Amino acid sequence: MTVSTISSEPVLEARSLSKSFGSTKALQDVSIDLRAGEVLCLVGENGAGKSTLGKIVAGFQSADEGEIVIGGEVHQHLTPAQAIGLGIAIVSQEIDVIGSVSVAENVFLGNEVSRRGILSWAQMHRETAALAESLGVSLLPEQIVDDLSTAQKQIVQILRAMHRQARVVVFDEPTSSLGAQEKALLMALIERLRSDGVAIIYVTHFLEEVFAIGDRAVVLKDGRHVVTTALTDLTIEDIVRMMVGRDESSFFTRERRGPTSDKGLEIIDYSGNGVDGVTLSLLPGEVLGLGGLIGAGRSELADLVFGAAKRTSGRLMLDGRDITPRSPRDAIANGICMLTEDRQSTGLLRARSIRENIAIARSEFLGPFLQGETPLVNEQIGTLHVVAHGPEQGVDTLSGGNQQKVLLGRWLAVPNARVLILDEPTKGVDIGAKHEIYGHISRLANEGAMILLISSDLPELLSLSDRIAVMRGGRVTVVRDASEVSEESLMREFVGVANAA
Amino acid sequence: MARVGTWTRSLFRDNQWALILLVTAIIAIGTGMMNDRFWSPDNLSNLFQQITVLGLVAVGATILIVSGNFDISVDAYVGLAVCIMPMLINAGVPIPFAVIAGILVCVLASTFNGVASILFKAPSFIVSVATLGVFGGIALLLTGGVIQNAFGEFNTLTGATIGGVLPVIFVITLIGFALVHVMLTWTKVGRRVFAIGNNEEVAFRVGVPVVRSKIIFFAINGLLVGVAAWLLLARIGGGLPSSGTGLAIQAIGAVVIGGAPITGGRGSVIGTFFGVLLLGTIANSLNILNVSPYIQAIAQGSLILLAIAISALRVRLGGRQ
Repeated sequence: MTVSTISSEPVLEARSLSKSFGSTKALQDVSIDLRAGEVLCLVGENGAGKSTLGKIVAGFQSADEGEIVIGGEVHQHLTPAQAIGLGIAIVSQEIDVIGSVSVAENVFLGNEVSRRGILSWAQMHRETAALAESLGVSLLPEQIVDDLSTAQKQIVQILRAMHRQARVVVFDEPTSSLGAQEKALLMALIERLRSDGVAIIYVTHFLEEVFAIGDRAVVLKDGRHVVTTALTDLTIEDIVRMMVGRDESSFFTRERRGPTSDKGLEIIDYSGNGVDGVTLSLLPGEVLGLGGLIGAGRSELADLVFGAAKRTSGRLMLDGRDITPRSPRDAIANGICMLTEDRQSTGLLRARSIRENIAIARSEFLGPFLQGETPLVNEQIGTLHVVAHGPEQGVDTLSGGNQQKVLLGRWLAVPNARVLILDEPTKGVDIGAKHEIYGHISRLANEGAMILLISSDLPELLSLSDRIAVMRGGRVTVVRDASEVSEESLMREFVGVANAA
Repeated sequence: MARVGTWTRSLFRDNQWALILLVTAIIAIGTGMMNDRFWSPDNLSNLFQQITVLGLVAVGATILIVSGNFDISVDAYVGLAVCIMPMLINAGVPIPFAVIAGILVCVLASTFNGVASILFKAPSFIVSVATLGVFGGIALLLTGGVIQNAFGEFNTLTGATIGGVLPVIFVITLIGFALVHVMLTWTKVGRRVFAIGNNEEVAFRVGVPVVRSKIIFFAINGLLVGVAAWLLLARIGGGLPSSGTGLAIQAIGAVVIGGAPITGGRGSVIGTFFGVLLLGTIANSLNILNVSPYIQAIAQGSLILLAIAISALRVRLGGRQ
């Protein structure tokens, strides 16, 4: 660690921030303070709230409660424009650069220099070049941003931030798409900013980076503040321990019966869509959990197996037969179903009724006149306890939990549904419906279904799975029996820290 | 009294067609009061005749719009069909075969729009703007702009009415409405229309054969437009490449007036029917009242704007859009 450049007075404070998205509490009563010249890392599991916190500080989200204090002023809500005016900038892959124009144009966006109505490109180019040089960056002001790499695009965001004389920069998962060299470049640039007295909030799930450039870390869990600590005498294991670890009540007891047969689903050497050579097997009666950080490749693997994404290699065998699907239609015809991660954009037919949403997959394989549909729909509504006025009610008026049940009902209605791929099945679902869904998953497994469960909720993964496969960087790194792991050891696998064998 | 108020409010909120029917009734009654010729069997029969062709085209447009597509080139290939049919008849081809050929032309043209849109990954709206020119050009090429005469060939058909008021050709249109309504509400193909129009990605993920389905929707549209072209020829007695002018826009207007959002995913041919009826009633009453045809164009366009505004108001009132 370099010589301390950290000021003693905080340059920014967030006090008691709370934020909810619908029924999900993303942040509850979180407070942090930030000093000039320091790198403050926000760490936590998927969904812990770290990204939300970063966005609230930069004005891209507004908190439901709480305030931000900067430069002695108290703010309840910051707009992006206000944040920029106060010297706060954000570098993120969601808040982007304009690809079709040049580096200089992006740097000067909103602050263009003009003389009597005509833009002074020469001057803007000169200033951009000077700025780039002062930061040791080798970008030319006239380069078109679309032609740049992801790392370079992020650097353009940094240049823009510096041009706006940002004193606080929030980095939101900046290295997720970067290679080793580009990461090093970014780290060096951040060091540069730090020594210039800029205050940096660094949101990441890569713990090695936290220890490489961080001064202090804030650990968040389930939207709450766990601890704010200096990193000097800690190890990665210490941080991991603080990130996870919940009490018994979060867990669900599943009555496991064990596999009902020895012939099942074999996923053989699947590659493509960001996935690299994954081989897994699943037996009837078994729940195989798939764990990992965001970007590890879990949903990508699911899409490949389901035929929704193009594979470069891979075969799928069911009961010893090669049934490799080339489209979801193929997969469903063989009894393979998939509940997607984002029900609003890839799951529900939003303006349609419960009936249509439940019946749609099955009706593809029925006769032209949708015979026998009503009893089928009512059966699913009944078994899954979907709370509604009736099957004709629109799904967009249902709660998250009931929407998930409708989608589950859709797949259970498919004839010969034998393999269920569930991607975050209880995301945005209230606790009551969550446990109901766990009950159904448990029952289905015990009745002989093969379930691939993708979940970022560690207690959920541990409660329901028989075995757990961990993915990192598009590969499966390890498969363990659920009884042999804990939240902590799993998180270590996700992050890539060695576990004692 | 208050109970009636809430009931009517919810009726209009959830069913745009009821509102449209009310407006139509008001216009009809109003016109009838100013000129009682409006209610004569002759005029009513005329009214139904006038909306026969638009009706079928609007049914086809409903299917396309609900599934997220458009066909602006209808004007052109209707013109092409009403020229080809008389050309064949005058060359000695028996009438039924000539009519089938005309319908086939429309099926092929519409299907071409669908296939091109999928192949070039371009919005069907844009593709059909292009084919509007192509099909129109073909018709001009074939005819040299000369009217193709089939006068008197279809007199039995156009002359026939039921009860002296309901023209048989209008019954054909009604059958078209009924069949498509059944299709959209109770069949697998109809389900696919709504699924694809709602969210193509979801449709793909539940096993709907998206590409094949879209092509079928365009083919069905072509079939309906083909029958409409035949009925148009029967009514006019001859064909010009420009005979179909105005059909596409009016059809889309009728669909929107009937309550289907232009963005797709929802809609019903019942709504479209009342949209067509309203447009026809307005045209008929403006005629009866001797209003300039230029005003009619303004009236129709304003009506579509009004329909869109009402749609937005319904969303505000909390109804299903």
